[in-house]
Amino acid sequence: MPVHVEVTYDMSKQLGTHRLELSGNTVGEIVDAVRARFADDPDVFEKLTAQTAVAVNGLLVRHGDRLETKLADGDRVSFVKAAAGG
Amino acid sequence: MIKGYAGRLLEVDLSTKKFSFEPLDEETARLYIGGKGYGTRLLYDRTEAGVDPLGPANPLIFSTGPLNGSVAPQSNRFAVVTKSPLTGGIGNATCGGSFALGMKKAGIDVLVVSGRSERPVRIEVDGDGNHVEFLDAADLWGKGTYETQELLGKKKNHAVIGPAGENEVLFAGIVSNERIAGRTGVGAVMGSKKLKAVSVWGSRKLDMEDEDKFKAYTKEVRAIFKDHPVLGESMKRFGTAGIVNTTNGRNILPTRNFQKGHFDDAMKISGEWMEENDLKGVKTSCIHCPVTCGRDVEVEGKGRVKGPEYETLALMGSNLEIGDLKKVSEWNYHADDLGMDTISLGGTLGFAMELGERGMLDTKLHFGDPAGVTELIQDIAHRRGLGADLADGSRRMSEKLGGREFAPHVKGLELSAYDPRGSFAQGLEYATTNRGGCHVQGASMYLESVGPLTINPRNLKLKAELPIVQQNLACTINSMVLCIFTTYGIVPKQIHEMDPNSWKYRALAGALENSGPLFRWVQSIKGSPLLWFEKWLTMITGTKFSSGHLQEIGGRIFNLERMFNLREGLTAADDNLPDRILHEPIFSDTTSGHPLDQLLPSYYKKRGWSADGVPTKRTLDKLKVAV
Repeated sequence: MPVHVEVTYDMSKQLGTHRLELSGNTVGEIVDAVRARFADDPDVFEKLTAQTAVAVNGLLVRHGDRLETKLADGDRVSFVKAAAGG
Repeated sequence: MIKGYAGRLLEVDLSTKKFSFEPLDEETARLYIGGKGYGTRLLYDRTEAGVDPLGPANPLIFSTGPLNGSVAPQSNRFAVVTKSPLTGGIGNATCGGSFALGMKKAGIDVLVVSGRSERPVRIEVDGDGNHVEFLDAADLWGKGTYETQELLGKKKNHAVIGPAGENEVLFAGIVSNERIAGRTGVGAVMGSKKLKAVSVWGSRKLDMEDEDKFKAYTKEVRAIFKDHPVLGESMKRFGTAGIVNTTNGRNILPTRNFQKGHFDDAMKISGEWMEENDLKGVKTSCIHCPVTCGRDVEVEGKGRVKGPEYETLALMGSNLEIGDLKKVSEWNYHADDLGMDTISLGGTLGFAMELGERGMLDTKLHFGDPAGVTELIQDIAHRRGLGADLADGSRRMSEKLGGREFAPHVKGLELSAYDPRGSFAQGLEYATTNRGGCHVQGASMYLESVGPLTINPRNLKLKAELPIVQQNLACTINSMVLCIFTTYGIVPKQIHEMDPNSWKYRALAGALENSGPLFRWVQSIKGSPLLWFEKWLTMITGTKFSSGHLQEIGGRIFNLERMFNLREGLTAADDNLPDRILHEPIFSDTTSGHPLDQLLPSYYKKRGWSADGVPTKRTLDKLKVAV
């Protein structure tokens, strides 16, 4: 299932892009696919995502079923950090 | 006089060119603190219903608070209060820069400007000599805010308008240094009085109850802010622009005149992009502020100038579908120099673009295309051609040209950059906030959708309580006068550090969502000070403040604002959101936009208002709101 993935902050620097096209049927599979990009140093991935929530098409995936959440063709998965502006 | 106040109010009448220094009213200071609270009380008492916002009888009130002149972080701001020409209701805006400090050094808590000069005028206030001079400003009329301040000299503290204020653009602001009191058209009121600038100076020092204790405690607060994940990390590193990708990821970044909440090129107008491509490493801040949310950027032909903040990036970037930081920076520079609120400007430009694309307005403007925008910004400030229509804001344009259902405003004030369809409490806050569609009169979205503790933004739990508590707190903060960003520190670092997927986090978020009565009870406690706001007020004034007192004072101010609006003809019908927001979905799984009609009755009830949104006598008496 092709989905669009958006990453920000230092994660995008590590990956060299803020937008990826990946395949996966669930959020968990997408998270694993991103993690695989950090195969050389998995700790970096864990550190970068420690305080990061995941949203599918803008809606935060509620916590209990985060990884099992099913995806549809063309969905957008975003890694979102807490922030403030004004 | 209570400690923390200079104890003086300066009256200036531009019609007669007379002035007088009067004692500050202690009782009003106790009840309304200062800033917008004191200003609102004065405005209510001094105006008749139906006063013309751009007429001489509408006073323009500059007001400081007890923290101004101290070393507290984010404390050197002033409030401006007046009847808004944009909304017809209460108008107010706050601003950083150096003017608040100048007022306090001059020994003035409040400056009331009334009347109207026949010719362009500026005033200079020598607080030490207790003297005010009325000076001809014909040579400054027409000049931008930056050049005006340059010509007035850096030794004094100025509040000035640009051409937008002179030409009574209804969303013109007042500028101090590089900061702007942007919202509700306070600059148009200043322009209507033919007042180009106020310069103020003096050498008085803030007298506080316990200065040693205050300084020691402030050092602790600064350390908390510096160590805080939002204030000390995200905002310090990326400025307010650090939130662009977060709102985009949550589908609440205004895009294409609020048709969408996601912009594919958001990264190109983000704080990260600014850091890597345009920032050149220069951070700026207001006096005594450790957050350094300001960012200087390079603008062609202008050198290094103040960069755009989040609201500008959203309303003039994604909202117009312009993913070009250089363009937005250029427009931001011009808007500041001309003296205009970029939120209302961007909202109105987006509305004009949609009108054009629907064939309802003769314009060559197009979403995604920067062509013509720079020229139009100048035309708006000078009320030339199409710019004359845009200068009146999106509501008046919609009344003239149609498109009311997608005009992006509440009470005439253009919506700021958090789409309420993904943040229900924020939507209720937009609808009920007295000055209109604004995010810094409460900022519920922080606890709901962008901060670390995201209570579900799309259910109805806690959605009436949250805006009330937030609005009340914001009223007090804007009366102290502090930057609203100080409230972001309330969510402690430990919560930021929790894994959003852990059971602890889930339990905490769930408990908060279900804690309406508890939430309100905690806020009503009148005992020891808990947070820096109460502690600072206590240490400065010598009177003990707690979170409950702050809620009570804020509620008093909010209800007085409400009574002002009701007197001016605004009613429950004005507690609304644009049809687009109410009915057009931006999430794929829903059919509705925002459940405002389900939330308003509960909000009114919890406010102690009647079913049609009028504060009851009991509520007013309880809060000691004399009307």
